[in-house]
Amino acid sequence: MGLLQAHCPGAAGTNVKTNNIQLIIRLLIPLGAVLLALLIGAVMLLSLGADPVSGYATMFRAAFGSLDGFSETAIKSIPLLLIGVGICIAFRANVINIGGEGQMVVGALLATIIALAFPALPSLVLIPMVLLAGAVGGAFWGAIAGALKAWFNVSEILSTIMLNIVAVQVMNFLLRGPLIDPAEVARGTAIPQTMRLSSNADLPILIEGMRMHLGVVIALGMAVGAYFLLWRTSMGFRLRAVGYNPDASRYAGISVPKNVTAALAFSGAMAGIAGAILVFGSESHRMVTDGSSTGFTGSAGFNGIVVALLAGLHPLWSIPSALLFGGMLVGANALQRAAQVPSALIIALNGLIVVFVVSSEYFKQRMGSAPRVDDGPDPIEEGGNNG
Amino acid sequence: MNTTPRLELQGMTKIYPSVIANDSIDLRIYPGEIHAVLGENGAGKSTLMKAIYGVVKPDRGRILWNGKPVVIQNPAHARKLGIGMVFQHFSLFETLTVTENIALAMDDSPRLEPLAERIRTVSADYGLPLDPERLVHSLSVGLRQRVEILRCLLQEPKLLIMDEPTSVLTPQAVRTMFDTLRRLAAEGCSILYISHKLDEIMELCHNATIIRGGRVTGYAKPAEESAAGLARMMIGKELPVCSQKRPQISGKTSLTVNNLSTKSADPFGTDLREISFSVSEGEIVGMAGISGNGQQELLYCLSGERLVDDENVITMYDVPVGRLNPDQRRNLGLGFVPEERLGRGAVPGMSLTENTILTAHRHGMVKNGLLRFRRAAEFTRRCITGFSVKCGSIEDPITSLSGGNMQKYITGREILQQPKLLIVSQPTWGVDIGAANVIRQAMIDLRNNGSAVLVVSEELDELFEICDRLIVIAQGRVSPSLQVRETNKEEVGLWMSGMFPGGPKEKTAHSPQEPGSHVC
Repeated sequence: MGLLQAHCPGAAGTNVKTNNIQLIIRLLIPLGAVLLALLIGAVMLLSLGADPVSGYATMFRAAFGSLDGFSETAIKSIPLLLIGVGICIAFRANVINIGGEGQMVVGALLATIIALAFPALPSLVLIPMVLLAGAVGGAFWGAIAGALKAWFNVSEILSTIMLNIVAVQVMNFLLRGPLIDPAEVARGTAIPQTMRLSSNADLPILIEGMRMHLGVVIALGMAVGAYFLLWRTSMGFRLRAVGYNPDASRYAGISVPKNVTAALAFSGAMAGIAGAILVFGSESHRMVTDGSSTGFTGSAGFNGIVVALLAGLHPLWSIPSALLFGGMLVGANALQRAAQVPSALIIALNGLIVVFVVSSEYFKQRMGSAPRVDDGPDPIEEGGNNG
Repeated sequence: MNTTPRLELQGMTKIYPSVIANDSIDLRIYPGEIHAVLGENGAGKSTLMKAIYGVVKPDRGRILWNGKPVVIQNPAHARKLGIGMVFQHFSLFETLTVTENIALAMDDSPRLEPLAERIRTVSADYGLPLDPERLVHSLSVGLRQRVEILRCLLQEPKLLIMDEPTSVLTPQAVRTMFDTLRRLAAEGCSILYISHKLDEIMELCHNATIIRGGRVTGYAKPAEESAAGLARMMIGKELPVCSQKRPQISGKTSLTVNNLSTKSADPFGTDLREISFSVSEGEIVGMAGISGNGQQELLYCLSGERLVDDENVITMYDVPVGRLNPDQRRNLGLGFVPEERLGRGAVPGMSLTENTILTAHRHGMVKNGLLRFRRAAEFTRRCITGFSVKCGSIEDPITSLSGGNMQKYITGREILQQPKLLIVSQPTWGVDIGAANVIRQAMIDLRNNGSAVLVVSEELDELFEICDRLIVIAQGRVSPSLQVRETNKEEVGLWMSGMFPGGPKEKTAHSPQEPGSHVC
């Protein structure tokens, strides 16, 4: 190896090869983790007296076996994917957003209010407007936590969880009070839900006779858009630089507080859109809750975190990951019906997958790390700590 | 002289996945010998020393210790054999005393009072007086190095490895250390001396092993060689020489600092006191000083990473910039190379190309908010070719570069942007002499094209080679400026210890000078 040689062409070839091997390793490890989790799930099924092979087959058929099933899976995957994508964005700026639940709620509320205020607008205007309102609401809710972290050093993990609680209370107040369906009041049933929102805001169905709607396309678009934002724009570059290293970012003149806030705002916007899609893509076409903290979201704000983790916090890998978890939700119902297995098993299975995938990160880092080109950044100096 | 070598390496080979770090290296050092290991960055010196100190296991080869083959398991084993090592970077706890720090590094846990007594006697004995009760944070860098050396001496080493030991010392302190090393050698201790400063090696060392590309390219008696001859063996070709030709430019004032005083954010940092100086277009001003005397704090203020209260205290081209952030200052033409390479000058985790975008994005790498990777790649390629950066590919993570190569890359990235004002901290720190000359030449060219350059460095040789004027920083105060032609290393060395007009250790009893009233 020539000493003053600037660029070693020989090394480039081997790099491509090692990169491919690394990519395969990086793909196989989480897959193996999922399989291990399913294996333990099989033991659990056995102990419940169910046949794991036919059980898993039932699940798979229900979720992916027919176009209808896939349509259901896709719908379940929408909020998971959007939350996951938001988690990816925040993570790249080294911010952890546990506030997907609250941001979904606030986004959905703002979108609902817009739909109530302008019911007569044509679909072409109203649909973009409600989606935008969802994004704005979620972004606002996320930005609060962001600003608290950026300027007052408040842990975003705590503040986002707290803001979830606040958002749910605001929702309960609005859906039981000002926004409640007048018919509910008249009937005296008082279910916390709005009236049927303007049909001009209904998300169009993609395939006739199925429930799959425009939300699927929007969620996919956001995943691609987030990838583009993070790796192709200067905005995303700044987010990632701040996430990797605040000191170097400051050196380069990138404002750390602004970008931390922006990261949570982007992340919140994704959740807000998910909230709006839950409202306008639902069959009842209204915003509805049962008064519990996850009554509106169905815990998507938390489950989306798992989606992002399985995807290695990459927005594009979040797509198959969201489909997997969406499929499990659909499959679980089928399994419950077919084998009389409590659906809590699926929650346990989800948990197992998370534990295995997160633990596999250790192996991924050990096996996927690139060998150094040179003999390292003056290793003897680093060894000084032993001396 | 004893005929059994204290240490003999036979065919030492260490292979890393992408590079052969050491290729059949033979080395022999006798008792009482001061032996230089000369080589550029990445030549394999570090790996070799790590093998001797038991940090890495060689793939092939034998180590003979006093004629007997040994396999050195780990640093503790090496210490037990009698091998001591003084690292370039200290691993000391600032809030502990000298004695406590030394006790921590010992393999048995000694009682502190007798240890303090031993430190006092041994240090006085070797002409390195040191108060064992002092807290490390109150020690200058030179004294901290003494702690590291004493740490080794207390274990009565038979072989002492010194890694670039003089980079933190004033010329006067270098003399003291040389005396100590000669005294140690006279007592029979062998010393492996790693340095790229050829004049030091020629003065101090009996023998030298020269390594290039992982192989031994020669053995020499430094005293009988010329600096150019040693350099040739080290880099395999003639040393590029900096051309000192310069046009006479009487440029505008580029940077002024007027009476800057700040409290350091770091409890162990240095407060800046009434600092005033200026840098004009067409000149290189060097700031000499032992590190830890306020350079860090001053550079944070100059770069904009730390804002000062009064915007008028710092101006760039007559624009008050004290309240502008780094980005705004860069828009005014500032380029800046910080001392910390990874984690400040570069983002670990990003590739070389992305790290180019980090500061060079204003040179056509962003259009309508989108990144233009082709432009960034082109710039990066120019940087690695122009500054001899050794790397696999420009898409590799920046962390795959060795320290010296990262330094070359960051310095190159800033210089290639053709800044109107370049501020550089330790431009050639850890960089081999061939590439160091490329960096120096690039700074000279920048000056000759009318830019202003401020170089903050501990290396007086370098400052004297490239600078037009020198200022000295000591304990947060900056000296009046000196024309390089009218001063010498001895004077600057004295000033570095604070003895300058208006300095902290000024002997004459006149009051500090009015801000701005410079000698030159």
